[in-house]
Amino acid sequence: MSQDFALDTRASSAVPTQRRKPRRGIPTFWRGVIGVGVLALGMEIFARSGLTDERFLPPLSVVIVKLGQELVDPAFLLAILATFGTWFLGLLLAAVVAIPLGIVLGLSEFTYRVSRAAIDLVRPIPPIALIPLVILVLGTTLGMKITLVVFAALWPILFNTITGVRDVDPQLTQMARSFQLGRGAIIRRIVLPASAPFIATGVRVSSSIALIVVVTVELIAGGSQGLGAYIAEARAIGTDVPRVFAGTLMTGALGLLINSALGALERRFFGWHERKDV
Amino acid sequence: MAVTVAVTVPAAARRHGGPLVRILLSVGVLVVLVVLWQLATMTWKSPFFPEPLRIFANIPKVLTVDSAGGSTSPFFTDVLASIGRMLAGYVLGCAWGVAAGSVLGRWRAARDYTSPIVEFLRSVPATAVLPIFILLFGLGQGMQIAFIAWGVSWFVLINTASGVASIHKTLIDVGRAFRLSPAKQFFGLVLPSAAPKIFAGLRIGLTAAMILIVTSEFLGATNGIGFQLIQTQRRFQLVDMWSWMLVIAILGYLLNTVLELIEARALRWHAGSRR
Amino acid sequence: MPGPADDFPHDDNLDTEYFMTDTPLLQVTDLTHSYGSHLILGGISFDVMPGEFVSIVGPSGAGKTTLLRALSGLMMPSGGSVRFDGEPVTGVPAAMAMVFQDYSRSLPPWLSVEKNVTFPLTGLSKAEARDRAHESLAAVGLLGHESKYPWELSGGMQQRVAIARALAYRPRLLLMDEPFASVDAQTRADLEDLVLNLKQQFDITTVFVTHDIEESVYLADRVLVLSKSPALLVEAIDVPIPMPRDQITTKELDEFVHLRGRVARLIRAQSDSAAA
Repeated sequence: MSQDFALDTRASSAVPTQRRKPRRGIPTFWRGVIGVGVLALGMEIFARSGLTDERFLPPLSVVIVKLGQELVDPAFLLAILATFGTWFLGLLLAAVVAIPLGIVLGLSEFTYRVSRAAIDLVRPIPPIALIPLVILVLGTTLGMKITLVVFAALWPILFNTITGVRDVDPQLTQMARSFQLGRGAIIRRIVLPASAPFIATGVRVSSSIALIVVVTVELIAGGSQGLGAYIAEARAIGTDVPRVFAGTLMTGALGLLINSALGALERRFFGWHERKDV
Repeated sequence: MAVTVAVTVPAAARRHGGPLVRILLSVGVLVVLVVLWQLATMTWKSPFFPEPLRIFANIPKVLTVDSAGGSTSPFFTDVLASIGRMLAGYVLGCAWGVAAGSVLGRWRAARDYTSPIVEFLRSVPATAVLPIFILLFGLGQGMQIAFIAWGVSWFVLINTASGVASIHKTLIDVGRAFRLSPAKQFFGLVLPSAAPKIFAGLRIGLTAAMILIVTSEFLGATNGIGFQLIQTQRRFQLVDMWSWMLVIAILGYLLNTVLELIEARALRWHAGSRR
Repeated sequence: MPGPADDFPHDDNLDTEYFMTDTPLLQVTDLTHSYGSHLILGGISFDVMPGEFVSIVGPSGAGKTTLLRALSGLMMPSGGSVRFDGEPVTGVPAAMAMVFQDYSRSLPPWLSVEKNVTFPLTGLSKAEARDRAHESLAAVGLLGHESKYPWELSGGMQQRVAIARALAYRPRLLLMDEPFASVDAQTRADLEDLVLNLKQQFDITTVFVTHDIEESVYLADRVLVLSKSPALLVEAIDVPIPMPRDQITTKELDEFVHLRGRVARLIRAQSDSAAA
């Protein structure tokens, strides 16, 4: 499924594409802007209406201002960097492990079935449940966070890589073999490109999981760095509530940035690939 | 959090061996993994990694005897309590997700106006909003249920919208050509057509609900499976902690299996109609 | 007022007491339609009398489907008018049913064959609906397959279910949008004969869109030939070949060969002028 929320309804149109009705009304972009504007206004009014305590639900304008202030504060920027860095390292490590492993496991029928059974068993273990253990063993360190991120992000990439390898048209590999291509060459020139879109999807899915794990660990483990710790600390202190919202908004912005970037990359390189519900 | 919509098993994999073989294989692999785990813990003894057999054997105790020394049975005060809260939040989140997702899937205008908002809000990691929910709702069951509902609803919404929007044009024409009432068009054509994707969303939502209940109990609870997990960790009751980890994993697996069974039943036609 | 009414077939399974047969059931006047600046229908006018079987034939991409959608009320044309039973068509008329080209998509796969046929029926008790379904399924030769699912049937059988669904609806006008374009030749021949059969049995006014020249002549009382881009009515050709018709003997008749040739030449002239 495309990450885009702007969903494609014309996929199955009986009317040829060039004859699609010209969209009437306000262009899509401005509709989005209007939507945001209406929501922002609504939230502002609601927060100031007296229905809720302004101490706990600050108006949007106050939060935006606070966010602006924080964005020039080095401590805040460091927190963003810490979260991003942990996320990036964890995802990279997971990919470096999962992709080669996935290719090897996917190539043989036997290893595929065994590994699928094994993955299906281990995958459902929520990484969240491992947090207390890992904190015990490794303490509140970067290594601890990376371990958890890698564990969580491994499975989607691994699973998708295996699926991608399995999905390679056997006729392609047969053709390659008929041209006397060796194993390594087949992997490099046929299997990898063909399974690349699946791998890309796996990476994209893992990226969001990784971000959640990073932020969650930062939230929970005391004495951490990063945005999660920033938010938790702000709430614990309790005097500057807009900071809590500002920090949370920032995680959303980070997530959106990551999603959009990866989605755009995926479309750019793999737009040709027919998505088959992966 | 990105969303994985229904994963298709490649045709090749489906052909080889039916469900029975797969189950046997899973059991076999499970046994092998456990044996390896047991051997590893016996070879490299570590207080942090008790032997799995001990952990399994300890589960009944941990469910019946309170590790903190209290008199209540953790099965009722923690396991059932967590499940109850989780399901409440899950059901609420799914209901809202399906309703809002249907609206957004059905009307392009609705999608256009709300798309940036939805894209942003669902990019906020589901657990990151916990402090905000604590601020707004305090600590307690209400907060947990709302928190879970919020997190779950995004996954369900996205998948439902995708499913509703991808209904085939010919099917829509059928609804209009035979002058079906709007209600019949929606419940009789749109929803069933979108059902596979909706169920995919429900499955992801369930996984999310598990994560969210445990997380919320780490920070703001006085009972529950997450609460017990963190408490046993703090008290260095390692075997008990591992037992709770296993309880959580098993719980997640059971709930997932139940949902998959429901899905298989509801989507019986789907498997057959896939060309 | 008596006139041709005596030898004009009555619609026996209709609920109305509609005997006036010199009033067209469908009146199309100056129908035009554009997508943006692209003119698709360039002003088409014709009438369809009750009980008539009219086929519309034209080269691919000529706008036949657009025309049918305008007739059915599924789409509002940019200009001109469509009148069904004297009333202007502003939405889908109640007494109209449609059979679509993509049968696999037009039959919800979660409904059994019987449920599919009864799906659009309203205002009937369960027993009545089921009886209608059985009646229609028998008429299309699918009795015994009620509990099957569409994806368990062949393409031809699926299209029969779609036809049965339209029949059970008891429409006064049946619109068929290239219904046999996606089946193999042998199945198509069977389905064509089925349609002829149903025509004799039920006498429902039908508008049948196709790109198959031979099919258009074989089935119809009248053939409307469309031009391409923008679609215009090039010629309306009567087909005075009597019923019953046969795939082999009818197609050997001089009359048939002559009509088929005439239609083919008109169509070819379209492609030639387009290429010129």
